[in-house]
Amino acid sequence: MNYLNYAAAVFLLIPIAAIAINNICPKPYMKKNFHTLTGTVAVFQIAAAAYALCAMNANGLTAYDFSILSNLKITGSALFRLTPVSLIFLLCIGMVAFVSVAVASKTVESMRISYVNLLMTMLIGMNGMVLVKDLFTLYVFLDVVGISSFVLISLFRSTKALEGSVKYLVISEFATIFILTALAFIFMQTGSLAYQDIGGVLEGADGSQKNLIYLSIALLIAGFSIKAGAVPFHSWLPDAHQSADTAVSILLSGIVIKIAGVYGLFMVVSLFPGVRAVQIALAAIGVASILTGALLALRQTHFKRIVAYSSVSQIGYILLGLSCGTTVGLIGAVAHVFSHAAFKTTLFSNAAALHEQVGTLDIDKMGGLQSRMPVTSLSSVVAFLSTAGIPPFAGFWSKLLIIIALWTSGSAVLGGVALIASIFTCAYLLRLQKKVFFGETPEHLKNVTEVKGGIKFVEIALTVITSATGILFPLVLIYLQSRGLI
Amino acid sequence: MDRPEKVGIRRCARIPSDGGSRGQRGDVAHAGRAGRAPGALDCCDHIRNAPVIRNLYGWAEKGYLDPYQWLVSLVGAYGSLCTRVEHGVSWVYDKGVPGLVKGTGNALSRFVNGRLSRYLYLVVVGLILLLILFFAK
Repeated sequence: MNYLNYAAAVFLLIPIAAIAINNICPKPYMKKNFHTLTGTVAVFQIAAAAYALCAMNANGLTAYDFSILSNLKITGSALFRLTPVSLIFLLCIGMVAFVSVAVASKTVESMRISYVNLLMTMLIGMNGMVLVKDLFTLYVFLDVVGISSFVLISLFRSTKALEGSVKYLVISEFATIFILTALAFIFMQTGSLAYQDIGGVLEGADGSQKNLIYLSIALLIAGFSIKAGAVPFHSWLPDAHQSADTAVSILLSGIVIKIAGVYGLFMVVSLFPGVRAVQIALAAIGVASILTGALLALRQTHFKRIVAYSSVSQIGYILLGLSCGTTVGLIGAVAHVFSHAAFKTTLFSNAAALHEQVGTLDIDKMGGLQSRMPVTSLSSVVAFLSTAGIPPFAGFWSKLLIIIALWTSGSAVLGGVALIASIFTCAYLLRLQKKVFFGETPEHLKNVTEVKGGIKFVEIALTVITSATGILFPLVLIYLQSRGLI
Repeated sequence: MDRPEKVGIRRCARIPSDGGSRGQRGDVAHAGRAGRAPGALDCCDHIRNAPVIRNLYGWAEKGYLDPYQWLVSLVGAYGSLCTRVEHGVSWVYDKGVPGLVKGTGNALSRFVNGRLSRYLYLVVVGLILLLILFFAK
């Protein structure tokens, strides 16, 4: 159990240590080796999450409380908790951080020290969010993620980046107001914001108390939906994702919207189970996100903007899974978080490769790159197939679980909508593939060659992860069945 | 003033020796033997021309009472219906859905115009919709 305690500490202490090393070591050395430091932290995180997941499973644990710099025997000192769900989120964070670092080694030319500081701060924020045991600490870590995101978007000081960052900042302030107000109302009712104290708050509440709690839940859903980039709170997302450096876009689309937004909504569903209004609200936001995101993606011509709207659409699927309120729905949602992290970071890595080699991300100016960039093309096709839910890739299984959950929970119509909306996903990604990788090669692209180094490595690694997860997913289903979860 | 006998004789004189056509025989019937069938083949014409039966014969000659013609018409109508359905489905695929998707996409793109004030309105509208959802009885 001691090893599990050490593994748990990795998630919060290692990023802090990395910030210290980054600022203590000589700047020229760190500028040259920034990717080694951050990559090591990401690998540590992936290893610790995988180890903790195996250790908890071996010991039959469903939750493991731990603390840092305080004695666990003192009541209330265990501020953090590991659960299988939080470990899957931590695994995704490590994976996306690693990809971001690999891409940054190619795309981030200046401000490398700041990039490392902000990335590690963001990592602490995201890790903290999924480890805490009360809503207020979750809010604090949420703001840590938010602030580091604003600065990371505008780090390279282009006009567009500043505009995207300001939009994100201003709209995020609404999220902050909504969430803080909700926390105040909940605290008024319960006198505590710890998860275990909030659980039964609706039981025994009279009319006015119930209304206040419903108001709090609505505010929490609105606040976390802003962070998740779900419709109609999504407007900041395409601008921010398009204008940021691709290494930062990978973080934002790959994991930040999921931890800051989806994990928050996951907690709302967990803390207020069986509230019909919560399920209807999430289903409505989910369907609106799926359709609006896909329709808007069809009209874009910028590679990163298409992928950003695709994130809005895919977040809708995750929310539909959460809206079921069943175990299968939650498993489907968490599985889609993982598969989305894999295929979306692949598509953003493709964007980085194209930007490096072609010099533009306007898909109307590209074409026929399949023979000149075979690795990028293949990884892009695999990511597209996974996004569209085509077997045997990872996205197929997660979407299948979500649709099964919708069907079995009596929302067959929503299941049908989710299924039909996959056609839209195919439509906008096929258009992207056709315009970028197939057809005639324009004269100015005749000399384009395949990207090398970190970007090529992560493209291959992510393609393997997406394919292997899809092929091996039946084993996961067998395991879940043996535990009686599905 | 002409006398009828002379007219009859003059018309009879125009009958060819080999019998002539049916029309010519009709003329003969009208001229010399009014109201009677001129030969064995036309002996049932008065039945054929009887009220109601004359209509039935007319329909039969046009094929309205022929089951084979019914089937042919039915198959033709079915084929025509299938063609219309196919054209309709093709229209839905080729023009309807792409047009709807394109139109909706364009409208949404115009709506998401990059103005922060509009984005903030959207956030407020979203919250109001959520509150309506939570408090609508």
